[in-house]
Amino acid sequence: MKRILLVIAIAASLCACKKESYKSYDSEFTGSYSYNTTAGSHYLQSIATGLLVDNMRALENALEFNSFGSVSNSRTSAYHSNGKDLWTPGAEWTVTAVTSIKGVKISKEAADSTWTMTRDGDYGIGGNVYPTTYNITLRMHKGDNYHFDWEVTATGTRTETKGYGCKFWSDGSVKYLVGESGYNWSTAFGTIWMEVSCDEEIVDKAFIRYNGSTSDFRYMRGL
Amino acid sequence: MKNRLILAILAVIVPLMSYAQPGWMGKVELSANISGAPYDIEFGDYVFSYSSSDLASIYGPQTRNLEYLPVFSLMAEYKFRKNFSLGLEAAYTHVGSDYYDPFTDEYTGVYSKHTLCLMPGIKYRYLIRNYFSLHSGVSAGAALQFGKDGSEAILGVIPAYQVVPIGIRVGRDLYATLDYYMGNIAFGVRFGLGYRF
Repeated sequence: MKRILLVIAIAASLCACKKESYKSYDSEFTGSYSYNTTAGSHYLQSIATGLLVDNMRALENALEFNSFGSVSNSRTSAYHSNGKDLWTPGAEWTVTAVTSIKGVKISKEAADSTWTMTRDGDYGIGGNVYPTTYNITLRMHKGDNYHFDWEVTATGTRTETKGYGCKFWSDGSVKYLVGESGYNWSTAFGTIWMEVSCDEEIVDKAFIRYNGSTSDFRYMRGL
Repeated sequence: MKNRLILAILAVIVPLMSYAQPGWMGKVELSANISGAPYDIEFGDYVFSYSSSDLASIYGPQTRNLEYLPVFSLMAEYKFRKNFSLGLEAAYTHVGSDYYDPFTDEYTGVYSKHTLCLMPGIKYRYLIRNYFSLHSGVSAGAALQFGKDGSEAILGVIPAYQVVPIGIRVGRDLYATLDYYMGNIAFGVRFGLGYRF
């Protein structure tokens, strides 16, 4: 009998701990209003300074390969052309040199300094990889033999989990200046919009606007 | 994957049960246990993960005031061979949070999930000394989950399994255990107090 009472007492004491043993997590981390707003701007930043810049980088790599037949730190097998020089109207290349946008297609329509890049495939933003389709027009401006300023016009869509997805587009064109800092195009001018939907119902419209630096921007949502 | 694991566990338990011999019977143990965070807290992907690069996290209901109970369990064991015992474990845990609107920051509801599971299992003891032994074990069964997710009810049964790769037991009739406890109900360390009848 004593033994049974002992086991019951142990069980009862553990149950008594129940009320005291709830653990809480940091509420800021799990989604405060300000954190949520910041996260929204990070998402659009990832499109503007990640996705678009990745395409500029891929195009510059392709142009370098087109001119010199090789690219530092790249494989020659990463470039497949339809036999036309990348500066020639009608040129169509597939580039796998930039891993994040492997298989992006570059095409040239007119005898100018403009190319169109398209891709329909997975793209990772902050480690979350989802189907992303886009069409980007890039117009080359001044630069050296390797890196240039670019004027970019973009439209695209992205499909994520739980019914969420978004459309994004540039308001006119966005200018990226390669600047003196090298290869990161941290100077930008222009606006990128995003419309977010859930189960095909629009839940938000937001924009990010650059007026010089990609680290100094204006972000608004709930529009 | 879970179904395969359960089948594998059963494939071990059932043949061992057929070896049970009356000569080794006569020892029953009861214990109460408390383990660390429930599986949902450690690995759940519905409420408790948050990412600034995922639209569902940014625009979906925002979760705050997350809280959880450690996993409490009661276990009865029956030693059927010198080193083996069969057990039945009943466990309970709860996770919960509040929902807030991502735009207005207003409270919109509550997430509350209770998990109650029943898992038969088998334990193997080794390096047995007077007041000390090591053990390993597996248990598998089912878990009833109920509660609410905003305005929607949660009700379902899922497979439940736990594995103890290694555990320490100290004591004789009255004993304490410390286990490394991993599975889809709890993950971490489990502490237990029990009595051998």
